[in-house]
Amino acid sequence: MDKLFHMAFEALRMNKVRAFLTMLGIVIGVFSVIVMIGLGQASQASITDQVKGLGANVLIVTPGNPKANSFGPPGSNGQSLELKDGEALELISGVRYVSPNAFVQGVIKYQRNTLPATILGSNITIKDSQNLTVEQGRFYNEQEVRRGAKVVVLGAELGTNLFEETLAIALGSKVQINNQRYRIIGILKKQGSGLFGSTDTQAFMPISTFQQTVKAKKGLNSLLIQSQSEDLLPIIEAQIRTRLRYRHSLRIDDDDDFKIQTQAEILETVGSITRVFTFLLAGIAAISLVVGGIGIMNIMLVSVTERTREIGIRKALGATRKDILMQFLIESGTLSLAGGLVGIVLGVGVTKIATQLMGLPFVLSQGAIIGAFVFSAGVGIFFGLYPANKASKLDPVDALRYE
Amino acid sequence: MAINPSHPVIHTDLLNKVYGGAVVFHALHNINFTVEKGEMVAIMGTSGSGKSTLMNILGCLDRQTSGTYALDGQDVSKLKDHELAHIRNQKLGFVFQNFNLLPRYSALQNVELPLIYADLSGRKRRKKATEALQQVGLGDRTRNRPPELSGGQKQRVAIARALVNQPTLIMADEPTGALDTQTSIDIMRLFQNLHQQGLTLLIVTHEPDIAAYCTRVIRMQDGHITEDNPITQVKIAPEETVA
Repeated sequence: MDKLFHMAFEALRMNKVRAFLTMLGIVIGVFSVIVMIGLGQASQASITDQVKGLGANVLIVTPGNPKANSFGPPGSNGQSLELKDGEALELISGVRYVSPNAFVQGVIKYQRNTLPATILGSNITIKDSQNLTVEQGRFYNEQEVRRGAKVVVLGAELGTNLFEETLAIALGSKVQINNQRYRIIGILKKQGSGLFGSTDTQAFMPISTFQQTVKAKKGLNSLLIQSQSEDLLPIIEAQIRTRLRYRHSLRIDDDDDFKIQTQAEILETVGSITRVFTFLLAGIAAISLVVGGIGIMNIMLVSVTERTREIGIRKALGATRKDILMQFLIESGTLSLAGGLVGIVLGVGVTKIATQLMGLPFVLSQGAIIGAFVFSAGVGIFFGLYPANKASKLDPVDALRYE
Repeated sequence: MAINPSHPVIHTDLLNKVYGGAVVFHALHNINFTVEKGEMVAIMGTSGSGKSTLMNILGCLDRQTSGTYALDGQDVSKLKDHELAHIRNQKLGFVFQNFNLLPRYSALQNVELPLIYADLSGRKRRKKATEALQQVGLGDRTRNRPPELSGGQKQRVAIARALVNQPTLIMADEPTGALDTQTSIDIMRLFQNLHQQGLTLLIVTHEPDIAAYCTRVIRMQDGHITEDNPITQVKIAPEETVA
């Protein structure tokens, strides 16, 4: 058996360039599967962390009929929630605070620098609910929310990219968002992704300011309700439903035009969405692995033809069908396994670098790595089977006569 | 398996080979052929006479259409493919006209090949292969690859490979066909030495000069054995002068 492996390595060593190119197909396939799964799992972990960071005492109300199936980030459809709804919910006993959220994608400009950013309006409770930490300056205060002051707090990346080395003068400077000027009062600490995407590329302003200057419509994307204890959640949820239905003048047989979710339900939703995306991307990447396998089969078929005479000689010297079959299977298996190993190393490395650059956690599961390894070995054996079988079936007399 | 010392190395009974298809071709007709232990037999005949077909069947590379063939007292007619492979490995040694060495393997690795299929450990393989190469006078060429060897040296490597598993029978198909006269004589001397050590040899050739070194000559034509004569005065190949 050891000799069979030795023979396989010999045969591959004799055709280095060919072996390398054949391996490349598997390397790329395994690499892309690993990276796709790695990034998928990383973003899932990051969102999960963020949702968990909200705590178990939280309810999230999003606009839109829950029976009309929504596929997308929470609060992406409907206009039915308003700031006044939030204020009404604050009066429910057991509610610590209500944090309203509205956001748009926009551009933010300072002198010659223009950057895309998510503009987020809320009240001061968002600092708590999203665990924001201010690095420089301060967060906006209650007064500024009441007044609708044109102030903005920038995410870490926005700050450094807009001001570059002049970050020190950022505080007090004015940036432009949709042709309106806002004074910067604070810069956040780098934090990574949040419930509504990475907080590092978001600009936070009071909800009143947001509704007056950025987006005139009154609709909110979500209301985040923090309760005093987890036990109160069912009662609070019932009260929220009653009040919102009353405020929205819904009749008894009308469906809700909003959706109330707990942390666990949001985790479930987010998890199912990212899982689907991860599998979809990994599935597409797996196609390239299959293409790589076909490459192996092609090369092994060429190799069998080229080595017909060698096969004849080996058979004359006493090799059985099984010996020849194993020899070629080990050869194709070695090719794909080596390609798989290289692909895993590259894939893990690139995933590690990419997650670091994107500020995501590195959580590539062992299952994914072992799966890729086993799958690549399987590809080699599966696609090697036909050529190896063909080789083993050669008639020794014909094979010896082959020129 | 108990081996009866009295049985012949080769014994065939009414051996026939018919190639089917649109046109039926009768390659061998009722061949009755016996080779005793220690014989050195030359098989002669023009191309198409059936000698290659006979060699393939006697070498367990092909199967007869009808009739029986006993090798070393064992009926091999009904053996399965992997059992025939085992027989080839253990009882037969092949020498070919064009050497049939694996060009990328060293002389030693080529000689080791039959031992791999005999499931010998690496150390035993190297020891036995080295001994076989020394036996054919190539003890100093173990690391060379076939392209670095002369025709005569290549054929010696092939003979060492045929010898390495201590076969019952050596089958050589035109072993001197690709060699010059002097080298051919050297190879025949090597065969004669092996013969003197008690080995049984079967040599296909179309050169009467080569057949003259054997102890018996059979001639084939159109699938029949037409002549079968012992050689009373065997020509002795002179001792080698150049190594």
